[in-house]
Amino acid sequence: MHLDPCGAIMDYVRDPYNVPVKPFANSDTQVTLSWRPASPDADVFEEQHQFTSLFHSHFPWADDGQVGEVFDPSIYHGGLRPVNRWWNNLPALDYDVGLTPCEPLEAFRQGETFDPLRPAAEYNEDGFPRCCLAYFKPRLGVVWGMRSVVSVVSPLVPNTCGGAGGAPLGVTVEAILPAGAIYWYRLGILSGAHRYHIRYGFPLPSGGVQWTCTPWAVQCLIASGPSDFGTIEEERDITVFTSPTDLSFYLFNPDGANAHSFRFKLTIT
Amino acid sequence: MATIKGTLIFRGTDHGWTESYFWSGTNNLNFHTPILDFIAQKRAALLGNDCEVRARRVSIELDDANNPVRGDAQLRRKPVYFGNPDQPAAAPGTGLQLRFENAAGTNHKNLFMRGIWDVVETTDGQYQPGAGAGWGGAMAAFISALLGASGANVGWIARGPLSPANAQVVDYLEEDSGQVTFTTTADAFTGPMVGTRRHIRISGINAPTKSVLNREWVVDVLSTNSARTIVPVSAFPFLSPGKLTVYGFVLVVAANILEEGIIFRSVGRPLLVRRGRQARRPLG
Repeated sequence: MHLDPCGAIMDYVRDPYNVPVKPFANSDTQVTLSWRPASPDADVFEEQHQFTSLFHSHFPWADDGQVGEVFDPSIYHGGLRPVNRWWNNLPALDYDVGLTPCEPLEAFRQGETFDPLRPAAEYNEDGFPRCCLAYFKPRLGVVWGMRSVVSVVSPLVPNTCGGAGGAPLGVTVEAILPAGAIYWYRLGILSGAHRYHIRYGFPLPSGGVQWTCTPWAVQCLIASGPSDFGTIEEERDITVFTSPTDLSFYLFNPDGANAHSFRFKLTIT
Repeated sequence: MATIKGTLIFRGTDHGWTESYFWSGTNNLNFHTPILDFIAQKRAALLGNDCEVRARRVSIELDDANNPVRGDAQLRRKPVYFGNPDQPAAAPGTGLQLRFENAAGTNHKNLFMRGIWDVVETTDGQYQPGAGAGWGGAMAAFISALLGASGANVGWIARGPLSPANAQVVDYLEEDSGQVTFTTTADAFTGPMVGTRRHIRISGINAPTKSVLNREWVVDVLSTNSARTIVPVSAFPFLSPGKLTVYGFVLVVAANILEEGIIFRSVGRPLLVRRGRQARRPLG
């Protein structure tokens, strides 16, 4: 089975549990699925799909062989009301956020195509698909106004967030910091005080992280200038002197080529 | 038209709950997400501080022919709709009961709304909608959303008998698997029901003795006069016939929604608290 939402929220239930599912469109093969709590920052899987919890189904017994959770009469009283579940108490993973499912989205509605010759999916020590993690590394997702991903670009290509002439603030950028530096710019920031908020994921590079924006010496000022961040979450003020100003934001990984990649999330308001 | 279920997932200070609404429409859930979004905004205005509409969920529950299905679902989380920051929320076990009525007033369904403003409930449990400034307008907007302003006329799924009035169970057999196969009078099940799963009720079987079979069951319909339970059940041998009712389901659209009053219901396990061992109960 290769179908996996890669950390996206598939449904809301009180506790995670194990359940048999039918994942394939062209086979009745069943596998045991283990639901896991989503990370606090996880987004929901927004496509119409079949892999939901039967908890919310008005007619969980109405099983006509479709993909998704398999109705198990043994945990229902008379087949009507759930009396038991195989609770698994699995923990959330702190890195399963912002990933892209490896299978096409349509497979979450129609089922995965069963191919006995296809190599088995690989999982890490947490039981998380390695395919999901491989998909994330080269990408930078820009979340516009905390609603949806509007573009995906290479982390080494400057990204314009907003547009000329007083670009709206409140933009959140989620990305992974590779060995070296990452930067992007915003056009037309008006003069005045702004604040950026940055949150880091683990593991932090051993040398910390350096942050600056340019041309900070003449046009913008970060509260205490470029600094090393050892904290997980931090807020800093930016003062822009000339309006409008095009600012470039740089995030440096001082460990260079030997640094670890790690996740961060930046919000500018 | 399919029957759609819209579920709002709420979160309070330490408890969560859901509320569900039903309406009819197309099988494309992209049309229904904005409807539930509109309802969620109006409902959130009636929430107290520290309460929020955490997520929205739409799903297909009945197909175009009113057959129960396990249809697709679609989720939305952002934006989160927060309650009124100026109004403390009532206790988690306290709620306002809404009564949904059909046009003829012959059927009704109750909705229990948790997370309401504390000020609209007196200490002795009376509903005082005039005590909260803005409550009346927010409630009117919410009811209006449910009665069509959202783009859907909300109702509920009701069930009624489908089988002939004189349908009977004339025999049954406990199979090796433990499941019970009922034999019924001819044509208790219609042709299209054969091969499907149905919700039935058995009553009066083996009268005057009591039988574990006299209750509701989910069965697989084997033919027009036989059906088998989907779970095993241990029953005494057949003695005398009983009545069989096959349930059908239909969406009943609400024409009126009334504010009934404050009621109290126990709350479930607090959020983020793991399941533990059940508390010991007294013996005997």
